[in-house]
Amino acid sequence: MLEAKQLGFSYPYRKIISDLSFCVLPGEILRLKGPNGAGKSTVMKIIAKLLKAHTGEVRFHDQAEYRAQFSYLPSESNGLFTDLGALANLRFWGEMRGLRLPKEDLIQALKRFDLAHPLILHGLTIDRYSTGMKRRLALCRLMLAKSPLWLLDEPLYGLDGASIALFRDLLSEHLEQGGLCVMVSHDQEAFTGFSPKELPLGKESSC
Amino acid sequence: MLTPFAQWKTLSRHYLLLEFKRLDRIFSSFLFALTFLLIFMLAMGQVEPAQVIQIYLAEAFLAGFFALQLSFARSLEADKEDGVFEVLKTLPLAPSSWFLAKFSSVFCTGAALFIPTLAIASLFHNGTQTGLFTWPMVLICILALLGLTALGVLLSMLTLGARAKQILYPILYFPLTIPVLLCALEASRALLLKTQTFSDLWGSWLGLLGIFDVVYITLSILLFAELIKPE
Repeated sequence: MLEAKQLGFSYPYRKIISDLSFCVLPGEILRLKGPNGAGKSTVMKIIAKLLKAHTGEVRFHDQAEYRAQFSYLPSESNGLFTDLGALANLRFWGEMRGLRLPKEDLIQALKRFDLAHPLILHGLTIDRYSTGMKRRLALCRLMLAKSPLWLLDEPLYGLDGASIALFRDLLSEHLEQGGLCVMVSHDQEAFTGFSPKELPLGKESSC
Repeated sequence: MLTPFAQWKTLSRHYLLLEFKRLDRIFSSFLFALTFLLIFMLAMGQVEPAQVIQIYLAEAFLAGFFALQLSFARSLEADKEDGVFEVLKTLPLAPSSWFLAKFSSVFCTGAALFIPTLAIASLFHNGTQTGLFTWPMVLICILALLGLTALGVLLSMLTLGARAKQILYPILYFPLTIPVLLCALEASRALLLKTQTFSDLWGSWLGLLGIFDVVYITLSILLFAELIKPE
């Protein structure tokens, strides 16, 4: 269970959140909702340990340190080394999580995301990918990491209809396996077929 | 979860691969050093044999130092692109492993730049003096590089998010590197002019250079951990 208690965070001269509490159970999605500038990405970064809450804390399975337990997808970037190819990127991020993934497994994963083109398998560097291809590769990494907690900030960024459907399949599998997901998305399509818990920012929510 | 040593190993290997993929970066810095040496050589013309050592040290260290500065300032480019740095920060990485991995790869690049610069500079004076570029000189060069690399990586990280990075980086880098450069130059001069033996130098300039290396590397590891903490 992901649990946040009485979170507070301010930028200079601007309060973003105060006394914010929520919890997410296995198999659940938490949707962070709100207009632009409401602090959705800020809350996401607090959960992802990129920002430190000024008050309160976030715990996952009752642990304050849970970096090994989640995968984070930022909103406008993918966290991919642009000078390397898809396989080198997947291998690196896997190894950083202690996963030694055989090349065949990586190719299978790439196939699922329609990224098993010979050019890609021969090391086409990421800087030559389209926006959607980069996002699909980032989702492929997310799938391979097998983290119980997904933190997704605008995951549909740059994806076409088929890729959005694939994303929903992926999310569905993750939830069926007892995974949790916190998501920010202005695109309603991301939640089609799911019943996410909603957290309007600025209002208190509790278990 | 990986041990800190395994993290260092994985990251170092990966960063080295990235450095290799960005050979143009090393090459452009190397071309800069070469141009610098050529201009120096053409401007100086025929040098008096008694001044060869001083001229050699001045041009080699100046060329190497500025080429390194160019290379170090761009050492975190790959991490900055596409939010890689942010995603790396979300992993359970030991800060010391992360710093030492970056340090190792940048050190290798620096060595591939600095040592050939010193060797080529010695070739320009080959007609008048032999034995300018020797193994003890390589060792001095490596010791100098350790301190310079630690500062280079730390300052690149420190100025990563700074708006005035292009100004801030040299302002911080130049004064901080003076002790390392002074020790390396004095040790090289004493060695080449044969005023001190190599073993004697350990009790003076080389020893001091080693101490600065230890201080800079330790400080960099400690400060790096602070820099990657959640804001």
